[in-house]
Amino acid sequence: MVGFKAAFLNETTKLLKKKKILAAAVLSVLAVMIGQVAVTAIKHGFGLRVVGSTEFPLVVLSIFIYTILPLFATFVAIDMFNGEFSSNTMKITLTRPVTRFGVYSAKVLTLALFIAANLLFVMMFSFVAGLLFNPSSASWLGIVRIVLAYSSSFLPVFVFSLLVVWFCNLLRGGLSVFFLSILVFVGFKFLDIVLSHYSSFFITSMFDWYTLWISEKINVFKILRQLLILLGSGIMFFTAGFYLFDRKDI
Amino acid sequence: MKKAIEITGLTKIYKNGRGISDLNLEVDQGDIFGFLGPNGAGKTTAMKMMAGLIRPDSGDVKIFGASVLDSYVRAMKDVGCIIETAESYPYLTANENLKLFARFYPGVDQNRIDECLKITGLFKYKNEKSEKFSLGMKQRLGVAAAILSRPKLLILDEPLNGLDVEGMLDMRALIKRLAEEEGTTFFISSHLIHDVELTCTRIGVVYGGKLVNVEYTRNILSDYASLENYFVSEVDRNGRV
Repeated sequence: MVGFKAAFLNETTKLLKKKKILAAAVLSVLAVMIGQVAVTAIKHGFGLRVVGSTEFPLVVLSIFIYTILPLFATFVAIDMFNGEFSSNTMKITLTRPVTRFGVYSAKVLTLALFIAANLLFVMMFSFVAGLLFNPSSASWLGIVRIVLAYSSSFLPVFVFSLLVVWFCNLLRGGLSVFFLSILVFVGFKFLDIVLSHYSSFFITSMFDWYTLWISEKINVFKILRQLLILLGSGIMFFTAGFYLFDRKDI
Repeated sequence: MKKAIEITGLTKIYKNGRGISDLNLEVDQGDIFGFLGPNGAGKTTAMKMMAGLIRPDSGDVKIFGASVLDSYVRAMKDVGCIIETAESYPYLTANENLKLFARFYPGVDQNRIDECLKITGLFKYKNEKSEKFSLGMKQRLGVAAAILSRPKLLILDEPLNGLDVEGMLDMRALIKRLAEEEGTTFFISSHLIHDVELTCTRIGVVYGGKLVNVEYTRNILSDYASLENYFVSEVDRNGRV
């Protein structure tokens, strides 16, 4: 794809130069530290062992995946699309010898990279924190479970961010996209409870599908079903977003 | 002679009824083409379609034989442009901005970036973030970005916007030098008639969304006292009261 590599490197450079990535890192560190302080306080205050060293990253993930990660993925997506449209900087890239598909794919790949890097950062940081405060309970199986949980968490968050990217190209204002994303996030959670039979179709209900990967008995069919639903939704959101991006007058 | 730009039946009408209708135009290689017209005549709309930023309702633009609609990458390979306003990423320095643009052109290295910064008089500000730049400096950075890849065609929408007198003189000299030494073709829109008269070799007048006339500057100046007189006469002839 002509110009894709240049567009991708540029998107990554722009992301690294912005303060959002720093804010995401600081908030992630804070979340892990607060979690660890809480666990330690309960342990020493009440004499209860809440989690072991390799369980702590999983506790962090269960909170992180519903809060900071989708929030910052939404911020980054809005910044990449609505931010550039409103500041008129989108045309800088679009008047270069690169196809719109190349630009769109580069932005989406950068967003994926952001989510993966954020997950990796929190995984490593929480693992080290857990190990420092409770070194006796570390095990190889525990480490494998952590890696599996964090790796598998990437897909549902990425698919959700593709939905946000679609909104970014559907609506003009970044603020509208942000509120619509929150509304959909909350709405999906609500529908997940009310229509629990159809919960697999609500992307946010699959944020915790990592539990399927690390359970004692792995349900391959359920994983496969959810994987296919996620992939199908992702492809649809990606295509719908590109359709609008390609036809946008700048 | 091979055409730098071939525009056929280019039409884009907005919901408010403005836009450009049935634009047919050819620009030869080496021309410095001036696109003149009052505000809202459709100049920027036409240039946006030429740069692929908006889709026409009908018609096509070919740049060095490649259609902007069908072979965008090939069409834009040798094109530099400033459309509407010269934009840059405000959180990056002038040098970082140009480095980003340079990635799209294999032959552009740091030496060329420095050269462009020197040409536009920004070299001493290369490590300053562009958010701190004045309007004129942003315009100069936009010009540096446009000429970075040594394009064969430069599409410049109001390139003198925000420039001081010195900047205008520099820009005029730069346009003439690139046209003479490197054979660069220019497609320039401007409302500064005097500058167009001094710079452009061929002029197209657009009025009310239509191209009303195209003529060589030397022919215009042999019939009229100035380009301004010619422009007023063309606009009057086409319905302005």
